[in-house]
Amino acid sequence: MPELHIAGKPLPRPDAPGKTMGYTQYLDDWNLPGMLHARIYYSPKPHALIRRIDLRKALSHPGIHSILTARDIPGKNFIPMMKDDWTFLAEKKAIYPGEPVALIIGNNRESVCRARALIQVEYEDLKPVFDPEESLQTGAPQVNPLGNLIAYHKIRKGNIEKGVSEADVVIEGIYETPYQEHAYLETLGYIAVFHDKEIMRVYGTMQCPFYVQNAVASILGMPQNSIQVIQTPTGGAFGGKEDMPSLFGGLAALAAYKTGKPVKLVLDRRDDILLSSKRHPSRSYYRIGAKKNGALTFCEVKVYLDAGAYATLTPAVLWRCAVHGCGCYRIPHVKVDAYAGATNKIPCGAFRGFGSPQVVFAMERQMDKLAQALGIDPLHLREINCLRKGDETVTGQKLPFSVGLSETISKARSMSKWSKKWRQYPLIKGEKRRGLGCATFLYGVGLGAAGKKLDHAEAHIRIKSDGSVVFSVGTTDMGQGMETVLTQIAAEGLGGIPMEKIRMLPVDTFSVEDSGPTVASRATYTSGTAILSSCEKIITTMKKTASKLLSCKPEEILLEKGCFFRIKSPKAKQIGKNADNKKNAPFLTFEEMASECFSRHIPLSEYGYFDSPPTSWEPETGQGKAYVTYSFATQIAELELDMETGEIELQDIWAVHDIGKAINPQNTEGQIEGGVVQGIGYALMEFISFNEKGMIQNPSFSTYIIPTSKDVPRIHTAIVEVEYPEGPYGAKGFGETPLMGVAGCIANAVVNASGIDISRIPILPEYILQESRKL
Amino acid sequence: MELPDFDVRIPDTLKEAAELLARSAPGGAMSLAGGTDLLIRMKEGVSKPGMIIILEKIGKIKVIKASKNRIRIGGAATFDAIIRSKIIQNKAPVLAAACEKIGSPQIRNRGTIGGNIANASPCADSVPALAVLEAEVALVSQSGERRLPVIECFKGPKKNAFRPDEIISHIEFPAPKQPLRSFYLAKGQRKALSITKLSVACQMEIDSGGKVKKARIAYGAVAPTVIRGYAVEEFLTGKALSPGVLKEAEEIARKEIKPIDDIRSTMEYRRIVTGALLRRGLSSVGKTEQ
Ligand SMILES: Cc1cc2nc3c(=O)[nH]c(=O)nc-3n(C[C@H](O)[C@H](O)[C@H](O)COP(=O)(O)OP(=O)(O)OC[C@H]3O[C@@H](n4cnc5c(N)ncnc54)[C@H](O)[C@@H]3O)c2cc1C
Repeated sequence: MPELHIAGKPLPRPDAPGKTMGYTQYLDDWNLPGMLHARIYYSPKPHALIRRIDLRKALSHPGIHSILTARDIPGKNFIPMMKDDWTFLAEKKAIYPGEPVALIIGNNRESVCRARALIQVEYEDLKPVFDPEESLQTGAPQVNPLGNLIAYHKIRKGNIEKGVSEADVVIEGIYETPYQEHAYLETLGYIAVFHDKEIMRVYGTMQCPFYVQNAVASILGMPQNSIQVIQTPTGGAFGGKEDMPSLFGGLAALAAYKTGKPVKLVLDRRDDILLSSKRHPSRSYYRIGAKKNGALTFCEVKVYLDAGAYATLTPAVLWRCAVHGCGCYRIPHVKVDAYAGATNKIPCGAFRGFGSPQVVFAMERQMDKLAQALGIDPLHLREINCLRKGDETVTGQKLPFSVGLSETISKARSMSKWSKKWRQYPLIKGEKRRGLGCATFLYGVGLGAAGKKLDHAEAHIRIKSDGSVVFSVGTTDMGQGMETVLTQIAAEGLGGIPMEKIRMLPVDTFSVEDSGPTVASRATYTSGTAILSSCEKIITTMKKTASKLLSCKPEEILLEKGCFFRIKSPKAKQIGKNADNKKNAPFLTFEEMASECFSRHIPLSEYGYFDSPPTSWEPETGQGKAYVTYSFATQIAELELDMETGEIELQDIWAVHDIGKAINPQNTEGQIEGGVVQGIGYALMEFISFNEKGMIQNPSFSTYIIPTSKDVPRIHTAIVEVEYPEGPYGAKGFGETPLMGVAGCIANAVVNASGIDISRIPILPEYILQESRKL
Repeated sequence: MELPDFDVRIPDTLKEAAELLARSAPGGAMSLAGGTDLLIRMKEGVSKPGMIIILEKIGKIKVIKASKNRIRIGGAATFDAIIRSKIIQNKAPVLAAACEKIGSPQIRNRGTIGGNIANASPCADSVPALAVLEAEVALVSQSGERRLPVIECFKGPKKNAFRPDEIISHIEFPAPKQPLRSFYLAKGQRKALSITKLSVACQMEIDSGGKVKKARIAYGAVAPTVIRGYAVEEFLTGKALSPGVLKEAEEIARKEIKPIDDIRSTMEYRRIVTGALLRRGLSSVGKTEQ
């Protein structure tokens, strides 16, 4: 690897000043002349036929321009996602509380809000079903138009009976995990403008502009070259802005198309929580076995995800859930069955981890129970079984490189002083206990075999005549720091010019081609690779031009810190930084070169492309190269537990992550800390409460409780860099992993402290107290 | 939800405010201090005043002062002002402790003690503290002033015992001659910015022999209103705070509260932990004695 000057350094984020000082303009800060406002009328019913929609009263409310229903859709009433089941506006049937039925458009927010209360819809109730396992039984009410089984995936490796017979110890468990709300700072919001009745422009907060482009194409029946989707600065997403912008961005476009005016559709917090997707709740049935020496012999998993009413992204979420269900271990015999059942509740979609935090929690509890049964240090049990370079995953994928799992374990072990503590803590008795718990896990980077078709990316770089640079990519920054990392990669790739010379343009479907969604921790390695490939082309041209100007051969040009040197001997170039070699050498600056190229009509404008390395999947056996590579991590939690109040006081969390290469270590730390905090919420406090009609009861932050800074313990981060040779400068993706092990390691620490079994999250004090009184 | 339309008045004096309230139909006008409860209720459509009377400019009802044997807190004093007040820190630390538990810095800057009382939530943090201070609430209207013990200000959850035209001008309680022992302990769903799911306030005098001379106890969020712990108060009077006495007090507390299950916690949890907090609080009060 060459010496890096910019990539790999903790440089400040270009977007930080605007966001911290408050001058960044988010969608809702924008208003256009003559703009109308829209609001969703949604069905309050879990399952009902729509008999009649009476809009008269609402239409006569002052300030109302029009109200649109499914009948007003000129194109298709289908949101392109994974299956053709999801409608923009319910037409004959409404299948979950919160399903959009009408779009109210008016002069201001107050009128559309008040008119909403005046819409009268006659419903005929149908029997609902709220549990995914029940929904898959025969005779259950049919929720989804394409059937209640939204998806099913399986893995078969080895022979499960053989694995069972080889085991000295078998551990069983049933686990449940809750919904999780994304709780991004900026709620969903879109502005659509129908320019000269030619081009539909949609601006808004989103992860996947090309999804929105396709949604607008569907609802309006327009070709992609008439739809321009532009991402505005996005205040958090966490997966919640993967599927939902298609629905709401599509509706905003419909409103602009119908009214001919700019239309703003912004959800307030209540509507945002009520109408947007969540993390899938899960119930899983586990059985694992091991020999006396700790070696795992088999893992059998049956897991049910609650998909909610429509498929949206569930098939992909379930696939990841299946592939991650057996953890990060070498297991010869595996059987996984993963089901997603439709229920009459809010559709579930993407959320940081995408189906894996559910099963990581379950599997890591299983591993701890197994360790206890075997009398082995739980962290050591993981060391015994963890995947190493050359090993095979449960899908039969050989791991030829970049497997830093065991390094993360040993680093976390020494940082947390694990060995001393975990044996001692269970001996403490009395009211105040202490506990230590661990979780190890992997994360398949990118879309994997299930998302093959979308797994490519494009980048476009242009050098301006003054030597400043702009680039465009098709993946988005939603706060995770992609802009910073890609700018660093471009700066490095262009020969070490300062980051400040480079600007990332807003992501715009008119400037580069569909680069797939910004999900699955894929932006750095996909767009980063595409950027490097365009940088290379540009540098080749610049060197060639420089050699002409400096009267030498292109090989005699050395590019360093943004200067093109004519070096004395090309051989010396290889000796490294060669200060001597450069001394007194004639050179041209990057700016001079840009200007020279411009006046000589030599274009410095290049596209670069990323094409995913191959992946594969055999649906009958679940065998294949599921993902291009994996990120690995070990997380350890230390906590104090009050047996009398059931309260958990987190003390420390150690999070050690193998991410290939940290392009920006400060950003990496930020991602780890943020993910850990989100994991703390998932582990200890977040839940959605439903009434008997499937309606969310806590659509606000006074009742949907997420951690505050005071709930956060000391977080100790560490980065392990085991190079991924196919990624930019060795980087692989990792943005999601920091959340994934937190629930598992906290649960294991609670067990270590108290002996109370944990098979469900969130771990509320009410539960601890109830169980501690049984001891 | 969006706020409905309403008129706004910003009177300069209490008298003007009382006049405005008296002139409007019952419930037609409401006073607004910090607005941290009222605006939310209006957005949710629970309160629908046609006019709000902003108390902001009436300086008189924001003052905190001590006379020889009484302490007086203006009805529109903010939590932040109360927490910072030397008078409160020295003479009524239980109230300062309770106010510190409230919301976030923003909420403590805006929210007022009068609003906390008038809002009549069983979870209101300042109210158990005021109850053990045996505070009286002074209500002003055009027809004059009347006083109610704080514990009699509530009819049920979110139902106060005031007339719609009354304004809390101030809250008053006796200033202790010497500092008294006290505590306010509360649990929420997280460490900050969370509504209290149960709480216990206590203030007591202990005589030179280490016996309880007078105990005042109140509970929050474990009954339809904040309630006083009369049974425990009576039980403790005349006793030394021995471990055995504390254990018994804990059990008595569990019996005299009437908690329920809701989204924030369970009946069982509230019952058990309220008792435990009382015992822990009493135990720490007992220790500082030595
Ligand atoms: C995010 C958040 C967190 C919160 N956390 C807590 C908490 O931890 N603990 C807690 O106890 N509360 C909490 N609250 C509730 C609220 O802040 C308090 O109840 C506060 O005391 C209300 O005071 P206010 O001045 O804002 O009242 P307002 O909203 O102005 O008024 C509330 C009610 O009281 C009436 N009123 C106000 N002043 C007077 C007066 N002088 N005389 C007569 N009537 C009057 C109003 O007409 C209205 O009916 C929280 C609120 C929010 C929004």
